[in-house]
Amino acid sequence: MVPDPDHVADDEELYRSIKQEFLTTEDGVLRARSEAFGDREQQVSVDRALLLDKDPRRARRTEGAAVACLLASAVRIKIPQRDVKGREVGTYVIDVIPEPRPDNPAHAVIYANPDFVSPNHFRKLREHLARTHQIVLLPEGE
Amino acid sequence: MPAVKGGTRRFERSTVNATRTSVGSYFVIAEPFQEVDWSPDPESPARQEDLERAHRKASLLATLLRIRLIQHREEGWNGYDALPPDRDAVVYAMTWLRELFREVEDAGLTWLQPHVTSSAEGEVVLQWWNDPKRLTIYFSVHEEAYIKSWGTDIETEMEDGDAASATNRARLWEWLTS
Repeated sequence: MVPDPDHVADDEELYRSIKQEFLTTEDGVLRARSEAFGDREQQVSVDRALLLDKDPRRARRTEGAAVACLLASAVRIKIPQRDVKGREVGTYVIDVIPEPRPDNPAHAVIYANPDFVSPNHFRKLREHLARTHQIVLLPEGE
Repeated sequence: MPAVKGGTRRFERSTVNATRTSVGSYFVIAEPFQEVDWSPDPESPARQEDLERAHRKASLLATLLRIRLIQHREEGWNGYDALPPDRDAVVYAMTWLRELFREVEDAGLTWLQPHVTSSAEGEVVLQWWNDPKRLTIYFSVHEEAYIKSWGTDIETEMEDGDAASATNRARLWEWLTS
């Protein structure tokens, strides 16, 4: 399958490098905590697996880091935007788009449109990602 | 000490436990261990209770030390673009945790040790997992906020709010440990 350079398909896998300190075990399964998906610009960097030949080792950002895998369709959610009285006034659309860099053609970002108003929305998105990923590469000797 | 949005409540509380040195860093006066009048009978309930209390306090001190250590993180510490933890947030988190510990002990509730980290935005983050419940507290110069979650759905299985007050701490702890 040749990936579309301008669009991330719903069935594409996305890799995120996870430092060992963000890992924990839940019911015997290794999981990444929500802060593993943090980003100061509220744009979560990921790598498109297809462009890394589905080799998660190529997604590591630090030596020995684990790698989490997210499915694009699970990332693409909609969150109601509410006013202070709880009335729905719009919708945050979470999407993932390619953002290739000279040093990393596989780079993509998960972001909200429009930008989140409250930091709590991005915190909840991180929690959502922490509950929907799978660890596909174990950490090594960190 | 920077201005704190939302009143002086936290400023007042922080000065009780924290002092600022001439070089601008904070150190927090750790509550010393109290002498324990150990029961001579190692099998007695009183002795077991003392041991358990000592374990809980050791757990708290280990967590406080972990919070202090994360202030040495540098920009990009997470492998991406994370900011270093804010030093005021470190002080707030230590103060908040000590208050929570005291309240939990006074109420005779179960103590759970949190995971300590910091966010990409420079907040100090404490997180408890009690499957399927997860409680995360974020400390910054602006706020002490919580996210609790019990599933993946952001709208129906997550909740956010202010974690600063003793009332809210008690409510969150009851939810987490129930």
